[in-house]
Amino acid sequence: MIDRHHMTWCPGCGNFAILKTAHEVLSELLPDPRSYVVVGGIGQAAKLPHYLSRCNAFSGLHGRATANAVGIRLANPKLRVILFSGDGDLLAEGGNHFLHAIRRNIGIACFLHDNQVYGLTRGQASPTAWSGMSTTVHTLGVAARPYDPLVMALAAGVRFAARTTVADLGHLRETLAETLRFGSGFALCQILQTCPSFNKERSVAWYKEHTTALDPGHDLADPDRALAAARSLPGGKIPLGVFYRSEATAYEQSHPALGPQTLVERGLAHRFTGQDLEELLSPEVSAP
Amino acid sequence: MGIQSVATVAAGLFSSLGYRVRVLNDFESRIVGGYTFTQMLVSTGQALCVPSLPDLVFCIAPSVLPTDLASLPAETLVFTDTAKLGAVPANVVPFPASTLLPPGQRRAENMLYLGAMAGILRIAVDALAPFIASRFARKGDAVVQANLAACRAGHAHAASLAGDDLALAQASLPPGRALSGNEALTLGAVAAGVGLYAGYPMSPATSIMEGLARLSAQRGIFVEQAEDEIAAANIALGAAYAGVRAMTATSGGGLSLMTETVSMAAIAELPVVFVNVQRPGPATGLATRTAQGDLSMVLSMGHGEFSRAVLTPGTPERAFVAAQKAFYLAEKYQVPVFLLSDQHLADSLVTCTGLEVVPRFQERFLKTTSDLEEPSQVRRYLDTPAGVPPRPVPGLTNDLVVADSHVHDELGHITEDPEVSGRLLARLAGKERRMVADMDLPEVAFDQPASPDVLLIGWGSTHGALRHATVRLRESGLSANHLHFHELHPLDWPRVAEMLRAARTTVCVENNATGQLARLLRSEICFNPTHTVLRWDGRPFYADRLLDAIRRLAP
Repeated sequence: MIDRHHMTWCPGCGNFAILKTAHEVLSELLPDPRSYVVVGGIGQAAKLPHYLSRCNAFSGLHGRATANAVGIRLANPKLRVILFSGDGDLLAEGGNHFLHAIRRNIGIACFLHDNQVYGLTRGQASPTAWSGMSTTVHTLGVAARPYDPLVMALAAGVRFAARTTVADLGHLRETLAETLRFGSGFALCQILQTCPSFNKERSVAWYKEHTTALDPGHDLADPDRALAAARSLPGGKIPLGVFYRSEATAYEQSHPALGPQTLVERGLAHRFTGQDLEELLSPEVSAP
Repeated sequence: MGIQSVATVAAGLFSSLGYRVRVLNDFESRIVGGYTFTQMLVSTGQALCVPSLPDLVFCIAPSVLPTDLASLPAETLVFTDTAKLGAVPANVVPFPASTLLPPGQRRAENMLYLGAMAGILRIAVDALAPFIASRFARKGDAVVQANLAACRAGHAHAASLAGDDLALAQASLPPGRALSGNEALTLGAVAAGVGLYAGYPMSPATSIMEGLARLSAQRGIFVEQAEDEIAAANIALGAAYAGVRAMTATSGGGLSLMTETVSMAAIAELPVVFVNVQRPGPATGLATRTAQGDLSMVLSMGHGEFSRAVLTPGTPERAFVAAQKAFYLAEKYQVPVFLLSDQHLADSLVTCTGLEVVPRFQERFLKTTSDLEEPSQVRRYLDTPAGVPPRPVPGLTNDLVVADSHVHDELGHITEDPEVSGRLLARLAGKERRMVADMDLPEVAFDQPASPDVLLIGWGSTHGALRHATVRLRESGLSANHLHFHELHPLDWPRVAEMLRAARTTVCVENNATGQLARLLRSEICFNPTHTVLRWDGRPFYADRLLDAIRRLAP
């Protein structure tokens, strides 16, 4: 991690807790920094790959991080691909890529920083903003209903779905680790996060008061129950935990073009001659 | 697609027998039916450009005849199902197609006409068999046999017609192979070692994706049909970061969606090949027609200032080489490279005889070793004397690699430092000056005259039409030459200016409405072509009409 002085996050930003926890969990679970790439898009959350400092990192365009992550994973499935980005980046600008990465079930661990606002552009509503939230743009309150990323992802068939918060560092750590341990495709971890500059209502205290652990008897393998649990508000509180986990074949594990060699390895070994061209053309008809 | 099957089989046949063939495919933006036609020029010499009026017409749908017959010269012979015509017009050959077909074989009717074509041209029917077998092999032996039988029936009938006027002269050239521009471009990408292709279906580019998909398992090429063009470009970008040769192909509308990613490829110094198979715009335009309307777009698209290369091959053979070179330039200079084709080049079948595999274009320019003892982020964006930074492959060595869309420091991290920003942006813009050394000057058709009275100037798919016109002008005693841009950016413009200024009269011919090459010549070298000949209705130039247009201009 780089020192705080060089970070552009506001004092008290929930991103600090996510960065520190991510750093610890990555060091423990993926001790070889050559073995993974951390991907981000644009926004305050998406700067996290820059601040980890001892990793491969891809910091792309606004909304496109998921598509970049897909490309990296297809090119080299020996690299774990870990995505950290915000609710605006992943759900607004990048909403289509998010849904289709889930549809593919490609091996990406996706950490969604959810603070309901756009921080870097100074406080507009994100797709997860609650109805009635007042912002510099929505001066009369947000008229639309919030987008629930877990519900969307589960409906789209995601194989791993979890929710945690920066207000409970132990839970955050445990859930980040659980998400990284998932090896069967796309894993989504929604992190409810504070923004002390533009979302003063959802403070650490608010999250502590308004979240609760998912029922310990929750059946992790049942997608319908997972969906119901993700939508539920037991005692008026947002449930936290792993909602769904189902082993499956990841996209990159089933494609005939991806054998034991990665595309990168194949590319490095590529030699093509006139003889190869003849062979390519030969299944077609030659002169009678 | 019935008529296109005829053309594909016939083009393969004639090319293999040593003829030179050029096939124009004209079809509507629909799946089945519509008014579809194919024009084929067969020559014992060169087949550069299809004339507007044919010697022979094969019409599977007699209902369109009244319109078409009126525009045909009296000497043109027409084959159609005369069993379905009331009165048979003068130039229609008696050919009761529906009665010649074996019962229940209506679907093979197109092969009946192919047989008739071979028969009237006095080509032995046995020469056709392997081509038909190959074309229909996937559909099983029964379909192959039905089509062969139809072909033989048509051949027997046409061969029995009196007169050898249309018998083809013996071919004396070596055999070739009929390939479309998209097929050649696809093979070029395979030769270059494309590892990942990401795209979204869009005419007339789709057959590139389908061609690579057919080779996917065999060659280990990943073909990803993305959710949209923005995803396609960004998946390619991610793969390029990981160290794979990556490309996407689309048409103008799809490329518009990729604009921001082009800019990203430039600042992150990641090599991505963007193929634009042009069709007329604006917006949805004409989906299955041709245009050279996106040259200005690819020369300037993407916000900010950065280097790029633009390749504009004029023939399938050149498209084969251009696809290889596109990857080479992209990786050598770490820039986005545009390969501009169009529907005319993409869908026309042309006899190819020399497909050149260029081993030099397979060089990767990747850094695959590290000096670091411990894994650590490497100076990926180091300024080097070569003007292009080292490009390590993430995961391969101790080099940890950062890519970033912001202005960044040497490690790839966000910075707003004016000196660092200035240095980075100068490098991005300055690569073009170095790239010039790798770019080909325009092709000049004939050594002499070096200072012609008339110089025809073009780029991309108009190559055959311009070459044909030049040959005809020279045959008529005019001092004419043809200068063609198969690559358009960056170029050694002072040299180009010398080449152009040697001519007395210059005619710039383009398949667009505003003369985009002419405008480029004005802006780069203050050169104003004497004349422009432009066509922008979605159709290619025809040999006779283009020649007429030029003759009206030239002295």
